[in-house]
Amino acid sequence: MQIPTLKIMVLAAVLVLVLAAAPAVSAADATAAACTKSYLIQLGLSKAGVDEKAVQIVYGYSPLPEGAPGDLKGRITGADGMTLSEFNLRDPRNQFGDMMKVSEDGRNTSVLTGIQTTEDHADLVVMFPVTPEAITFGLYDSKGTLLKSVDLSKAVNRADWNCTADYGITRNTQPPAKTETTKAPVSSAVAIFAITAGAGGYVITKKTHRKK
Amino acid sequence: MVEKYPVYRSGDIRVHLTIFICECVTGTIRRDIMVFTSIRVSNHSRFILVSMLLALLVLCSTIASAAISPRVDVTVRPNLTLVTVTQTTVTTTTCTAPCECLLPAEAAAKWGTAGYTRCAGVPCAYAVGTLTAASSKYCFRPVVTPQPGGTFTVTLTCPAGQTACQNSYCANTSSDGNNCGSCGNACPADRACSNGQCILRIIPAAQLQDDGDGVPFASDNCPYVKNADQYDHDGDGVGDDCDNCLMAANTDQKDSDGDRIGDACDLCPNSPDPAVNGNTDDMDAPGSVDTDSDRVGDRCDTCPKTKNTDQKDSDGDGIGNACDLCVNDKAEGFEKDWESNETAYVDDIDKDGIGDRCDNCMSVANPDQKDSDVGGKTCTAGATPQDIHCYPSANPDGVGDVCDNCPSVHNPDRKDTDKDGTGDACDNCLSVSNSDQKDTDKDGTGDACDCNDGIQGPNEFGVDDGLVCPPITSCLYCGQYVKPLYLARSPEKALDIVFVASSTVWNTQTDKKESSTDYTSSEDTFKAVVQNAILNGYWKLDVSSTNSVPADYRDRFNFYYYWRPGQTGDAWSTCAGDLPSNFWTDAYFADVGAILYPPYYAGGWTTLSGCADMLGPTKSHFKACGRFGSESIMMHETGHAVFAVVDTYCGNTHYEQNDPFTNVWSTETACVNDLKSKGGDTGKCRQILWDDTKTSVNPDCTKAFWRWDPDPDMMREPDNGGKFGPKGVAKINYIFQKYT
Repeated sequence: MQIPTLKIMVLAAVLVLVLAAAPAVSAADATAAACTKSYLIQLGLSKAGVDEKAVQIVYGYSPLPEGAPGDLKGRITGADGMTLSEFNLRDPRNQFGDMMKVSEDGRNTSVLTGIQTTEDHADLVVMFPVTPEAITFGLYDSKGTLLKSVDLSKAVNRADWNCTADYGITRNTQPPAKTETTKAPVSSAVAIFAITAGAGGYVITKKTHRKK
Repeated sequence: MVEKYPVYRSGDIRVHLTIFICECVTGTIRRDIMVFTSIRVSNHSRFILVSMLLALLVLCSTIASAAISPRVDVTVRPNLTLVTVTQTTVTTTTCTAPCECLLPAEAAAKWGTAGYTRCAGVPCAYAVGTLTAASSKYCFRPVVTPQPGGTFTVTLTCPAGQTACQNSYCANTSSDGNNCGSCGNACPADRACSNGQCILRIIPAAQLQDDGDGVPFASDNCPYVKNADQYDHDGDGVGDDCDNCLMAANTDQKDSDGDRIGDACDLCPNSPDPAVNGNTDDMDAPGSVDTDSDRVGDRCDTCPKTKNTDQKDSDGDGIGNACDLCVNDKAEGFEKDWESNETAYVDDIDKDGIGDRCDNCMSVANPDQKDSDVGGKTCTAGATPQDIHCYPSANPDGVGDVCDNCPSVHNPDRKDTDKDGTGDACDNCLSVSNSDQKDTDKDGTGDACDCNDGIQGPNEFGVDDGLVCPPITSCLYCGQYVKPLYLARSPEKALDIVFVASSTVWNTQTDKKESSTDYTSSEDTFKAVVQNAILNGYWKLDVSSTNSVPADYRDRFNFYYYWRPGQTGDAWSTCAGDLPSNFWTDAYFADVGAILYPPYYAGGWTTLSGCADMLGPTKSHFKACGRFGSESIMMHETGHAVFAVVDTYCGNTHYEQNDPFTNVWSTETACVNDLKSKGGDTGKCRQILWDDTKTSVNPDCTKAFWRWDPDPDMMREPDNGGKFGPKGVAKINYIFQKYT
């Protein structure tokens, strides 16, 4: 095989590799960055106790409550019973709101008055990211008494679909004022790979030419 | 010429020479001789009239004395006690229960001195050998006196042809002059009872007697009253001295109600004048009462203050059409109120003369009551007039054109879901409030929700792209039962709010929960409610905030609604309500579930109550009313449930120092220090307490918490133009940042 022919073949192979690698690498990056696998635990709280209604693994993320008074506590523990994380939760049975009346024509309203209740039942829903170490989720009252222990290994896996960076959200048209600059679907790693491959091909070609 | 004017002078009297009934009984023949008259005399004639009265008495006595009957029973009434009884043979009557044949003394002993009364004037028996008043037995019965507030019932069996009357006596209402036609209906003196009717008595010619005024009987215009002057003011042939209408010619002297006021001058010709010391019905006399001068006396006028000579009363409610607020609707009589106080119009708000109860447009004056829906269209729910489901209307919808939100379409319920003034039955954009009903391409769908008109509508970001025309073609993670309305970004980086329809409402009158299908029976209806909540609530967060929220705040939300058959929310099971049992499984990505319940008007009011089970968007839920126009109240609730902002009004609500980015502090010092660190006027830290009646119902209300945001604050008075203040907005922005 002649040297010029070999040189062309090497360059073509590099080009094919670059083109093939770019979208695959990009998609893998996006999935890893955007779709968070989380446990979603639904517990029914009532006077009779705590009922485990659902334990799932889903795609999604929701921050844990902040500034909760700690009438309930959540604790995630590992295989050896070690506490991985602990956080305060609000008891959803403690509810509060506002009362007001309005006339049919909307012209008259009553004064806003408040309401606070402690209901007999309510559902507590907790979401936190999946980690390999997490084995159980425990719900405790304010005195530290365990109310419910949830075996996370039994969680129903619903994160079994191809979650992409945009969660499949595609818009017909973007709002004119909200158009953002689009990025090339090639990651920096791919670009570096392409440059490196190109440079390698050039060196090979150069050495071949010198032997000649 | 001196005219004798029939004016009543102060000394005049009306003398009613009333009843003289000389019942001269001969065997079974009873003959009534009665001379009666009703004449008006002046003082100078009084002597003559009294003399005539005495002469008549003598005549009666003479007839009685000359009678050949073996028994003469003379009854003179009333108030004439001159009774002479001579008898050789007696006749008696038979007592019928409850009447008993007793001596007066026996009756008194049995029922007490005042406890009995006589049933008939004819004795029922006589004590043997005697015939005196004290020895005559009569039919007596006890007097029954009802107790105050109570009732009594007397079972009385009357002979055939007689009627049982109150106070336990039987009367022949066919011929009894005191109970003619019905119990207690006494005929006037000049009338006798015949077949239950009070008819004019006919005086036998033989008994006619000239009044001796020098005018021949045949030509005397007042043959029984001496009136030599023969004055006849109204020229009707009846002399003034015996004319029952002095000013109005009435040859027939017709007097239908027998009150001695002729029909021609009787303001109430069919209702006897009840006046004893005066006159209310004689229009010729002073003191007659006819306020509206329609020649119908107030006492019997269907419109005492409104002239209505015809007295027309179409609905027969006793109120004439001229003053009846509901001409064709029998009223309970309350309309009299407005006629008696014409400035009040208590039952006619728009003062158009049509009572509210029957006004087809209560709030807008429309005396013509025009209702043009006849010939319009009747549409099934949700259909537009262009829809094939509309068909010609045969009946008006009962709503006047001036206030009909669909004047040409039959829509008696006037339902207007989006509150844009155009009823659902003819709204070209049911889901979005579009008062202009603009439809550029004239395809029957308003621009506000036309997704195929090629123009950028008011709620679109681009051409045919907006909330109403969802730019989302698919939602991979939404599943079957969560319907996206607006998706801006990955649910991991957005506040995902999923709306749920409540199948219950609250009746503010009964204070009870009731079922409702307003939001659960039609997905389109609930979708429209949610769209309104987004458009006029969430997407106006910038204008309902005093400080800047992120410019792209709309794109920091994802909005959905939950629609799964059999799975509805219950807004009134608990304070915050219950989400459907499958909600968190189906809508696992939701940060907040929002139960919307329909307004339910009871007594003209609906509740707008809201409640949350958490402070902040951490897999929480809240409820609010989906009422169009009350979005600010929903945003107040959103302040709690989505943005963790605390109430600043004084009441029985939840307070806490919601660090970080606080809008309520548990001490004044904490407030001041916070302001010092972040900047702001520390002097505006103020305790939450009762301020005025607009914002608190309890004047003693004081809370150990402090606030800073200026009034009107969204968390204090959302219905009064309240906005999220700087501290509230800081909290909102903090939450946005957490979800970005």
